[in-house]
Amino acid sequence: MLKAKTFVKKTKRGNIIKVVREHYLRDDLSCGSLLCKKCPHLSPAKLSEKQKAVSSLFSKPHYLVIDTNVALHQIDFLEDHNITDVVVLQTVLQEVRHLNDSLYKRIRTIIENNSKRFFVLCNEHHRSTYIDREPNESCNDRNDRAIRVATAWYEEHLKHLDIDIVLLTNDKDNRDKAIKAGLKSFQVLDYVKSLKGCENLVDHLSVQEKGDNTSTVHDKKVMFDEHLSLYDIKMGIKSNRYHQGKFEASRENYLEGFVSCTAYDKQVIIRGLKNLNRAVHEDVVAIEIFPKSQWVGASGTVQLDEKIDEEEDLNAMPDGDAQNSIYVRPTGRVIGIIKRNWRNYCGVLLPTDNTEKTRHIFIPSEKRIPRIRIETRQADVLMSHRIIVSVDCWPRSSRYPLGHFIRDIGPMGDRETEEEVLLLEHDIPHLPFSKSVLDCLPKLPWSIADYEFVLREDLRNTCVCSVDPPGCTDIDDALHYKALPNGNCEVGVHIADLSHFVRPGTALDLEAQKRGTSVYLCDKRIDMVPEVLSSNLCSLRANEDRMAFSGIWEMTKEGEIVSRRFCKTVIRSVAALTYAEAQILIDDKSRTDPLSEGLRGLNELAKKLKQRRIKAGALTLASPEVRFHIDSETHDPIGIETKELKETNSMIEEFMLLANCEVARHIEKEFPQCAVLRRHPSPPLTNFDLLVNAAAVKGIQVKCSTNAELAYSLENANIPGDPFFNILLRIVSTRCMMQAVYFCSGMLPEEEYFHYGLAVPMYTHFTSPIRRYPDLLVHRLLAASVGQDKTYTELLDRNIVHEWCENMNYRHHQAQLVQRASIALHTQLYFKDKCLDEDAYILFVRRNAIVVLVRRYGLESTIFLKAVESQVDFVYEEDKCKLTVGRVTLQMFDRVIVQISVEDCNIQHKKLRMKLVNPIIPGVSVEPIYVTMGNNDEPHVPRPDSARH
Amino acid sequence: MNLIRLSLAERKYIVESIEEDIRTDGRSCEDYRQIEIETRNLPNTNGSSRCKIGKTEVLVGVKAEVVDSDLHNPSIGKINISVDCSATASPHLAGRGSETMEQEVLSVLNLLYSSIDALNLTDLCIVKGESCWLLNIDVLFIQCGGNLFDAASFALKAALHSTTMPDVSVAGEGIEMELEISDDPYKVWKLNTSMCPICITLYQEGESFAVDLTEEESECSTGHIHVGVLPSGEVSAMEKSGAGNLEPIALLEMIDAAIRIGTDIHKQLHSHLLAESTTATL
Repeated sequence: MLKAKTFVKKTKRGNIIKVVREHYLRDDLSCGSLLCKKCPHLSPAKLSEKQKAVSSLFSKPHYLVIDTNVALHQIDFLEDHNITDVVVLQTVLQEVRHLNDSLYKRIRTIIENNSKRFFVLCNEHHRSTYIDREPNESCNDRNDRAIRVATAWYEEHLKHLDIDIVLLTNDKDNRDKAIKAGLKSFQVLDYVKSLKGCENLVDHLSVQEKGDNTSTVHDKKVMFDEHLSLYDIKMGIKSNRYHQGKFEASRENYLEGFVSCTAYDKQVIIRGLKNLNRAVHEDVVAIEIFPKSQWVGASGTVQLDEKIDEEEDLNAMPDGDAQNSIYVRPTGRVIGIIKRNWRNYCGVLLPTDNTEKTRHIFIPSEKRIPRIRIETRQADVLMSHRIIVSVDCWPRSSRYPLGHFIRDIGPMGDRETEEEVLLLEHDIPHLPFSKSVLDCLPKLPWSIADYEFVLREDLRNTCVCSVDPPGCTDIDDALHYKALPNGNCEVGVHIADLSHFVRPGTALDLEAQKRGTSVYLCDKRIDMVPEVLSSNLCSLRANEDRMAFSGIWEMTKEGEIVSRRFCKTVIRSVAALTYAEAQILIDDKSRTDPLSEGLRGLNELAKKLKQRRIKAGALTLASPEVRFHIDSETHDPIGIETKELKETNSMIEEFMLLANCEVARHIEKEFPQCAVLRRHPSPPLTNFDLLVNAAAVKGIQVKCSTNAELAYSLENANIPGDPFFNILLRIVSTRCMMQAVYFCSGMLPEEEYFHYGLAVPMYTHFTSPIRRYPDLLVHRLLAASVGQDKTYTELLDRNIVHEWCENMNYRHHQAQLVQRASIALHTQLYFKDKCLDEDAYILFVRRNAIVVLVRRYGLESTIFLKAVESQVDFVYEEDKCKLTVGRVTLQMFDRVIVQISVEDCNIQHKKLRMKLVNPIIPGVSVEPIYVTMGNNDEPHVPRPDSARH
Repeated sequence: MNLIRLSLAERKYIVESIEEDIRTDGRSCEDYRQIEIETRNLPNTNGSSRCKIGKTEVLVGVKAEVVDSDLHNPSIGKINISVDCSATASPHLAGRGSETMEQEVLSVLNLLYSSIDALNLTDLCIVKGESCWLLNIDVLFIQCGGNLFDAASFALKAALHSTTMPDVSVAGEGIEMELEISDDPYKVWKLNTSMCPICITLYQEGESFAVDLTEEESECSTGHIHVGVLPSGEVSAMEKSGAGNLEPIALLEMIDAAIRIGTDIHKQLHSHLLAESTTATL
C-alpha cells in the first residue's frame, strides 16, 4: 500500500518548496513479542514475559511503551539494567533523532543491547498503526495520537496473551486521553515507585517532570529573568542588538564570566548572578551589551561560591572596584541560551548533618560549573564518594540548576577514583581498546616480512642508538652519526614507522585519531595505540630489528646541511640509553667505541645547532616540572624531584627540532594545500604588559617586540644573588604567549605558518608517531612524497585535515590539562600528613590574593588575603603588580615563605592549602614550623619593614 | 506546422465537408471533440491538471516560489509560463521541430494572462515591496492531435483552479523580517480563477470556419484567430495568425461564435472543476 506524505518546507535560501515523499505501509511487520504466534517474525522477536523489575501495579507481566518525552528526559532510567521489555516506536525514535542526536545514539545503544529487550516497532510503516494527520491537528498531537494508536494496537494484538501494555508518559493530556481510550498509562515516577527492589532508581529520574514539582514553580519567587525565545534571539542577532558567543565562566570568580563574540576584540565581561542569568560554562549564549558608561574591567578578585544560603542576594556583584580598572572591557548580560552544552559532571555532595533528607547540593570538581541541586535517597552512601551527576534544567525560581544522580565512581581520596575523575572531567578517551581495534594488530610472534627488505633501506649495520628518560618503553626516536671521508658528517634521525601498522581508515586508525595523543599521568600511561605497538613492535628497542622512517642529512662540521633524504628503513639499535647513561658515555673520554664517538659527534653538532637557533631568536622557556617517585606497591607518591636537564636532553631535542623543521619544509612543498603543520602565533604585544611592568618594578627592562628581542632580554635579565628570578621571568613570559596549534597548510596564508617560540618559518611534528596522531599524518604525507606509500582521499582534503587538526588541538590541550591535574593530585597525596614551610615566589598579584609558586615542588597556589580586609588597608596597584596590605607590600616576583599542608578540616573536599608565613601580615600569616626547617641555608626573606615605601 | 502531407483530393474533401457542416468525423463546425480534464495528478506541484481533447493531450503543473518583488510593481506577484513539447508528442516534432509550435502556444497563453484581471496578482504579494509569489507554470504537450491552443488554455485554467498555496505569515520588521510557514498541511489557500479566460481558436476553411480542428483539418486551414473568452462572455484578447486573409464580416461571425462556444465551455469546465475539488483530498 502506498501513501504520499506531503509537506511544505522552507529552504536555507528562504524559498518555500513543497516536498512529497512516497510512504509505503506494510502488513507483514512483526509485533516483536516472543509469545506471539500470529506475526511473521521477519526481525527477531525480543519482548519476553520475564521482566527484571516487578511492578506492584500489575499482576501480569507487561510491556512498556514510552513516549518521546520519556525517551528525551529519562534516558538514565531507560538505561538502568532493571528496565527491560520496552517497545520503542519509530515515531519516538524519529522525534528523538530530530531533537537530540546524542540521546538518539544512546537509545540506539540500548536497543542494540539484546539483554535489555528493547524492540523497535516501525509503526509509521505498519498498516494497522499508521495514521494521517488530521486538519487542525498539530504535529505533536498527531505523534501522541500515533503512540496511543500503536499502544492500542498492541493491546488488541496481544489480547489473548497474558500481557499488559503500559504507556509511560509524563504528559498529562496524553495520559488522560490514553486512559479514556481504555489503555493503561502511568507517569514514570509512579511506575518507578511501584517497582520492587529498585528503590534507588528514583534517583536516576530527571527532575524535569518528577512528580508535580513543576506546578509549584509559580508559587516560588522568580529569581532570574526569563530567557528570550530562540526566534527573538535570532532576530536580535540579525539586527546587531544581541551578540552570540560561547560563555566561559571565570575560574577565579563565580560571579563573573566572559563571552567571546566576533563584534568585539576583547571578551565581553558578564558580572553578577542576575546578569549571568543561568548561563553555565561552555553554553552558547546570546548577550546584550550595556551602554559604554556601564562598562567595567575584570574584578581581579577571587571569589568562590561557598555560601549555602539559598536566599542570597542575586544582585551581588563581584567584589572589587571594577569601574576604575584601567582595563575596561565591553560589559553585558545574558538574555538567552542558544545551546546548552551540558555534560555529565563529576563531583561530591555538599556535606550536611542530615543524610536522611533527599535534597542535596552537589559540588562539581570543575570550579567553573555551578553547584547542582539533586535528589537522592542514598546520601549516606554517596556522601564520601565521587559521583557523576547530569543537569536537567535550571528553572527561573532556582538558585542552582537541577540535576539527577548518574553513577558512583568510588570513595573519595582513593587514588583510582580520583584518577578516573580526572580522566572523565577532561574528556580523555580512556576505555580499553575495543575488539575491532585489537583485530587490526599483527599477530605475535612477529618479524619483519622479507619483502620489506626490498622496499626499505637496510641500516642494520649502522650504529644507531636511542636516548630517552629512564623507564621509557615507547621509544620512538633513535639517532646515528657517521663521519664522512670528505670531512662532513652524516646524521640520521630514525623514527618508529607506525604508519606501517596503522593503515588509514581501519578501526585502529579511527581510534588513534579519536584519542589524538597518548596521555601521561604520574603513574599511568593512556596509550593512543595498543601496547603491542607502542611498547613493542614500534618501539625502537635495542638489538631488535625494527622498521623506521629515517631522515638522513649530510652536514658540515659547523652544522650546515649539505644534502638530505627521507626513506623507510630497517634499523637495529645498538643501545637504548637513558639521558644519564648517554652523558656518562660522552664524558668518559677513555671510551672510543663507535657508540660513544657517535654520541660525542652528535653532542658537538647539537651545540652548534642550538647556538644558531638562539641567534635566530628562539626562546628558551621554562615551566616548573616535577617528577614523582612512585611506590611500586601502593602506587602512592613517596618523593618529589624537579626534572633535571642534562646536556643530552638538549642534544636529543636539537635533532628532533632539526628533523621536524626539515620535514615541515618538505611536506609543505609537496602538499601545499594539505600538509599538517604546527604554528605558534606571535602574541599580541599587550600580552606582555604585565611582564614588562612587573620586571620594571624590579629594575629590569624587558623588550618583547620580536621573539629575538625577548630572548635577548630574558638572557640578560638577572638579579644578582637570585638565580631563580630568571627562571621565574621565563615562566611568566611563557604564560604570556599563545598556544601552539596544529593546522592544515591550505587553510591559512603562508605568513601565518610561523613558529614564534622556535623562530622558524615552518614547523611540524614528525618525531613521535607512537604518542601523537599528527606525527602519523605527517609520516603518511612524507611517505607518499618519497614514493613509499599511497595517499588517500581524506588526507588530501584540506577541510577534513582541518577538522582533524581541530580535534588534535583539543585532545592535546586536554591531555596537558589532565597531566597537570594528575601532578596536582599526586602532590596532594604526597603532602597528605605533612606540613612544611617552603620557599616560594609571587607569580601574580590579585586584588585580594596572591598566586605563589613553590620552587622546590613546582607547586602553584592562590593565597587569599581576604580575611583581614576589614582591619587593614588594601591598596592594589594594578599597573605595578603591587598589593599593599597595611605596612607590607607584596609584589610580583617577591620571595616569600609559605606553609604547605593538606586542608582536612573539610573531609569532603581535601585540598592543598598554602598559608603565608613571611612576610608577616597580622591576621593572615601563620607561625612558621621550625621543626621542618632543619635546612642550613635558610632563605633570605625581605623583612616587612624594608618593603615599606 | 505544415508537416502532414495531404493529397489535393484529400484537401478538397476536408474543406468541402466543413463547408457542408459535416466534418470527416461527423462533428458539426462548432463541435468540440470529447474533452477530458483531470486535476491534481502531479503531487509535487502546487496545482496541476491534464487535459485531453481527441488525440491532443497536455499536462500543466504550477509550482509556487518565493521571490523578491518587482521594483515597479511592488504589490503584485508574478507568473511565468513555459511551454514544452514532449519529443514523443508527434513524429513530426522530433528534434528542434517543436520550437516554433512551443513559441506560438506560449505567446497565446501569455496574451491571455497579460491582462491584470485574468488572475488577481495582488493575492500573490506576500510583503509589499519585499517578496511575492512567483507561479511557475509549465505546460507540457504529451501528444499533439490538433487544436493545441485551446487544450493548453483549458488545462491551464484547471491547474490554476486546483492550485493550493502554503500559508505564509510574516514575522518581524525591516531587516528582521522572516517568512514563516505553517506546519499544518491543511492550512492552505486557493487562487481566484473566476476571471481566467480560455482560448477558443477558430480556423478558416474555404468559405466557412470551424473550431477544434484535427491535425489533418488544420493542414487545410488558411488562417485562424485565437479569441480569449471570459466566463462572462466578454472577449479579453484576440490574435490572428496563419497566412490567409479574413473577410471583416466573417471575422465578426467568428467572434460571435467564439463567445457562444466559450461561455458554454466555461460553464461546463466550472462545474467539472467544482465537482473534482470537492471529492479531492490533499
